[in-house]
Amino acid sequence: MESEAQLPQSRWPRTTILPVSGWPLPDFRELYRYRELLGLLTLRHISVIYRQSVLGVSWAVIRPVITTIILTLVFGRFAGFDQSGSPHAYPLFVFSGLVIWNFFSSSLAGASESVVSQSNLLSKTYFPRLILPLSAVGVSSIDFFIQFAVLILIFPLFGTMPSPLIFLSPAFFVAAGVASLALSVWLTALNVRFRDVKHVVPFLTQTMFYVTPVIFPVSFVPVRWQWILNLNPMFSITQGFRWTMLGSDPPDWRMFFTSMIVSLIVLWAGLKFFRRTEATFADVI
Amino acid sequence: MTETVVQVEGLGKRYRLGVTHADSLSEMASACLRRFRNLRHRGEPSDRGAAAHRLDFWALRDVGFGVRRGEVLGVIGRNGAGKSTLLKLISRVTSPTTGRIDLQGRVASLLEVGTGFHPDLTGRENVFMNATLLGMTRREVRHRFDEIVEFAGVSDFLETPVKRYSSGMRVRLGFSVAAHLEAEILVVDEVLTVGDAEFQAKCLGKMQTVATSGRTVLFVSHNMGAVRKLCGRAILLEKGELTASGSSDDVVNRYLSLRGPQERSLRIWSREETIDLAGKPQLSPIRFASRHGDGTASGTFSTDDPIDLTFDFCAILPVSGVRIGVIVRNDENVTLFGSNMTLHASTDTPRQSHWRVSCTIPANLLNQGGYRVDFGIDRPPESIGDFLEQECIQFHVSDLRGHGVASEALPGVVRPPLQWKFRPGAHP
Repeated sequence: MESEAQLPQSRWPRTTILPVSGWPLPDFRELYRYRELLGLLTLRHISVIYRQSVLGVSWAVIRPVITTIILTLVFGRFAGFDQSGSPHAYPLFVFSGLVIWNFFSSSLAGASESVVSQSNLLSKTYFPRLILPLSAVGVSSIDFFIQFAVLILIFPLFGTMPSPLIFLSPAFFVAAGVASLALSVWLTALNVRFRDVKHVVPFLTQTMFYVTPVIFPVSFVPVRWQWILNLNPMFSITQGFRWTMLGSDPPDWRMFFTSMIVSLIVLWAGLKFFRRTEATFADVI
Repeated sequence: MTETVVQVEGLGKRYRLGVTHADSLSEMASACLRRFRNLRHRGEPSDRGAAAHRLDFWALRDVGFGVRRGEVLGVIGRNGAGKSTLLKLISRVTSPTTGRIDLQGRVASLLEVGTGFHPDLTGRENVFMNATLLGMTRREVRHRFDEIVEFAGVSDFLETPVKRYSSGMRVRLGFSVAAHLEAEILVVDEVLTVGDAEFQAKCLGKMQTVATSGRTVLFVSHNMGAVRKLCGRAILLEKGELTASGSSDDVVNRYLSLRGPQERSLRIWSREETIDLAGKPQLSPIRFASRHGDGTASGTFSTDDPIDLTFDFCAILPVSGVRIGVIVRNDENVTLFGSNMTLHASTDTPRQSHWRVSCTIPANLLNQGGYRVDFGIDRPPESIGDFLEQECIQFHVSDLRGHGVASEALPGVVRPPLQWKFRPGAHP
C-alpha cells in the first residue's frame, strides 16, 4: 500500500461525476486551474475582432472618440447639457463617463452572448462554462484600458490634468465589473434556454444608458428622484469614476455601497444559478 | 493488479423530448405549480407529471463498468445506442441524470477533431488554443509543439490562417493535437472516419502506441476490425443499456449476431398484400431477409460470411415463368450487381402453397460497408418490371480480419481473395 502511494500516478487528479443536485457555488479552484484557457480565449477574441482590418486595434480608440464628438455636438451644444458654469470641459465630462459605461455595457453584451455563440466548444469539450462570460469581460477590460489611456492623454488638450484621485479609479473599474457580471451570469445562463435574452440585452443597455449620468450631470436630476436612479448600479459607479478622474462631485456613498451590496448578492445568486444550469447547457443549446 | 481508473456505476441520462424553448417556460411554471399542489395534497399523483414522463427518453440507463489502467476499451453498438452519450458524460460535456463516474487522471476527449479551431487564427495560434481547450498547459504545448506539427505535416503553413487550409489539413492538425495530449484517459469517438486512407492508418497506428504507453483509452467505432485489433476488452450498448462486456472478440461477435432492426434487414408484408403481375394477383409476399448460412436472419455480416437472401411467399396463381430478381447497391448508391432467376416448377404450384426462393452472395465478395437490396418480381414477356421495391432491405458487412498495422479495411467495393504467388524469377 505504501509503495503505491509513491508511484507518480498518485498525483493524478481524481474526479467524481455526479448528477447535479442542490445549488452549489462554482468551483473556484477549478476555475483557477483553467486560467490559461481564460487568457487564451480573451486574446483569441481580441485578435479575431481586429484581424483583417486596416486600422486594427486603433478602432478601440476611434469608436469612443467619435461617439464623444457626436454626443458633445448633440447634447452639449444643441440640447444644452453643457452647463456654462461647469469647471470641466463637456467632451472630457462625456468621455470619462463613456469609458466606464462602455466597459459595463460591452461586457454585459459580450458575456450574455458568450455561451450561445461558442456552442461548438461547449458541445465537444469540458471546461468550467463560467470561463466564457469571464473572457467576454476580459475582452471589454482590454478595451477599457486602451480608452483609459486615451482619456488621460486628452486631458492636456483641454488645458487640465487628471485629478490626483485617479489612483482610486481602479476601484470603480472593479465595481463596474462586478455590476456587469452580476447581471450577465443570469443573462448568459438564461440565454442558453431562452433566446429572448438576445433581444432584451440591447434594449436593457440602451435604457440604462439614459438613467446613467454619462451625458448629463447628476445635478440635472431632481434630488427627490435620485434614489430611483440609484437603483441602477452604474449611476453611482459612473459618478464615482468621474470623481476620480475630474475631481467632480463624489457619489452618494451610502447609495454606492448599497448598490454594491445588492450587486454582490445578485452575483452570488447568479453564480449558483449558473452552476446549476451549466451542466445541461450542452443539452439545450 | 492495476487499479481501476474509470469506474461507472448506475449511469443514466434522460433527455426531454419535444420540449421546445417556449414550452420549457410553461413547463417550468407548471412544475412549480405541481410542487406547490403536491405540498398540499401529499402523495396524490398528478396527471401532468405522467404526461411529462411520456416525453422522456433515456439515452443511457443503468450502465456500469470499469476500465483498468492501460486498458483499451472498445464501445460498440448501433447508431443511437447511447455510445456518444456515454462518451459525452465521461468527458463531462453534459452531466448524468443518475449514477456516478469516478475518474482517476485527466480526461482528454476527442469527440471531434479540431474543436475550437478558429478560421481567422493561424495554425500556430490554433494549436495552442485547441490544446489548451483539451486540457494541456501552455508549457506542455510548447514542449510538444514540434512533434504535433510534424505529425500533422503542416509545418509550412503554421502562419497561415486555418480558413485557408484544406479540410484534410485541418483534420490532420486537429487529430495531431489530440493524439499528443498528455492525458491519462483518452476518449475517442469515430475520428477515424475522416481523412484519407493513409491518414486513417496513421491515426490507428498512433492509437496503438498511445495504448501501449500505459494510457487508458475508450474507443468508440463502427470499424469492427479496428476494435478487435486495438481493444482488449469491449462493451456493447443496445438502446442505452449495456448488454455485453468481455473480450473484444466475443463482444464483436455478439454485435454481429444481433438481429438487425426489423425494418431494415427484414421486410415483412402484411397478410392481405398481394403482388399483381399483368393485372392479376400472382402471389402474396411474406418476407424478404438477409440470413446467415444457418438460416438466422441478420443485418450484420463479416466479409468471410456467405450471405443468403431469401424470399418467402404464398402462391396464388401458378408461378412458372415468374422472374425474381435483386439488385445490390452500396452506401454510396453505386449499383454493384443484379441477379435474377425465372421459376420453373415441374408440376403446377397448388394454390396457397408456400415457397422460398433464395440466392447466396458468396463470401469474400463484398467489402466492408453498408448495402441495400432492391427486390423485384415480373413475368416476361407479358409483364416487365411490374413490381420493384427499392431498398427492400439493408445489411452491413464488417471486415474483421483487417490489414496492415491498424487493421484498416481494404480499399474498393469488392474484396476478392486473390491467389498470390512468390517464386524465383527466370533470368532474362
